[in-house]
Amino acid sequence: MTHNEPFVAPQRSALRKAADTNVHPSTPTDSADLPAFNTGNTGDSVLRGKSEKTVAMEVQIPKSLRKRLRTRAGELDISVDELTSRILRDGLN
Amino acid sequence: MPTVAVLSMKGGVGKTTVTLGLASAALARRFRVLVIDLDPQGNSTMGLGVDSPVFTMNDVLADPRPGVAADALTDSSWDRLVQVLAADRALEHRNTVEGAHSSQRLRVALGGLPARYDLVLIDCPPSLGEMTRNALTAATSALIVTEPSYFALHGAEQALEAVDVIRATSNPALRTSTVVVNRARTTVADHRQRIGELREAYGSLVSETMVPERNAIPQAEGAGIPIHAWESPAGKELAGVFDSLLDQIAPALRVRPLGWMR
Repeated sequence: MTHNEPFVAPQRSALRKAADTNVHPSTPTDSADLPAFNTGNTGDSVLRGKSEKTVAMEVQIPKSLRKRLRTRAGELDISVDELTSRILRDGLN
Repeated sequence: MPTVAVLSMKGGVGKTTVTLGLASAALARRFRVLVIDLDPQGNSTMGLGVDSPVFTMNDVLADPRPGVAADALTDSSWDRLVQVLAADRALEHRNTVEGAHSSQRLRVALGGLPARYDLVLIDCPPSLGEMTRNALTAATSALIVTEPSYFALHGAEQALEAVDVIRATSNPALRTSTVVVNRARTTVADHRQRIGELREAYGSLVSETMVPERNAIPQAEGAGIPIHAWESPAGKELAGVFDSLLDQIAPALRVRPLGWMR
């Protein structure tokens, strides 16, 4: 390029591929990664599988977002921790 | 520009057939047409000869910034005058409420795009969920497709109620709907009875134009060509039907645009 030619920045598309483009719509996203039954127990016991070890994590988020998390968790009848884990798991998949 | 949402609660009644038929009629008059495929089955996308588009409506609605849909435009194989915002199966992910203004996502993402076209057609999925809410919120009018059958008429009734709900909430400008009967066989007594019921219930909302059941429709769709280019007596008959329907839903398109020979 010579100095006489105007510099034209290459145009990039504003649009990006959605994160779930390659995820089949039928793919379970909630607790499907947990075994439904603990097969090591007696036949008439329907138990949850071994839960993964949890750790504490402190993050700074807007107060309004915390309020929405609490409201949504209440609607789903689950804890805020569980809802946050689900959202993060989905977002990272 | 007329932006028409083509919908029905029931699947398989011919939403895509009507969408493609109207696009074909508008193209035959050399109007610019945009088809927005909101059905994850992607049948309009396939019918318009679009294969493996770079971006789809899933990408657009996952990130609905103002006007971003323009980046997802794809040319159809029919003609350069017909463009497509394509669907893929991942679009099913978007058929849920997302964010505070979920039903406005399509309208926002389209921005000023409809103004570039003479006619915009939105092919909805067979449900009254979030995709159809988005379509009706972005549309200027609704076209409800039904068959002359008991179940399909119930589906049409539900779709008409959905239009009323959207008009009362997110799109007060949404105009009165038109109901079109597809796969009509007036020689069948049951069909005549159902069509009569429909007219009795909805009067002038029911179009006088009915789409007859003809093999030319799946044949043209399979070949990926507009029905107006299907050279058979049935193809010509159907072309006339869709011309008439286009006159009804978009009266401004009765006259060919100046310079249509370009």
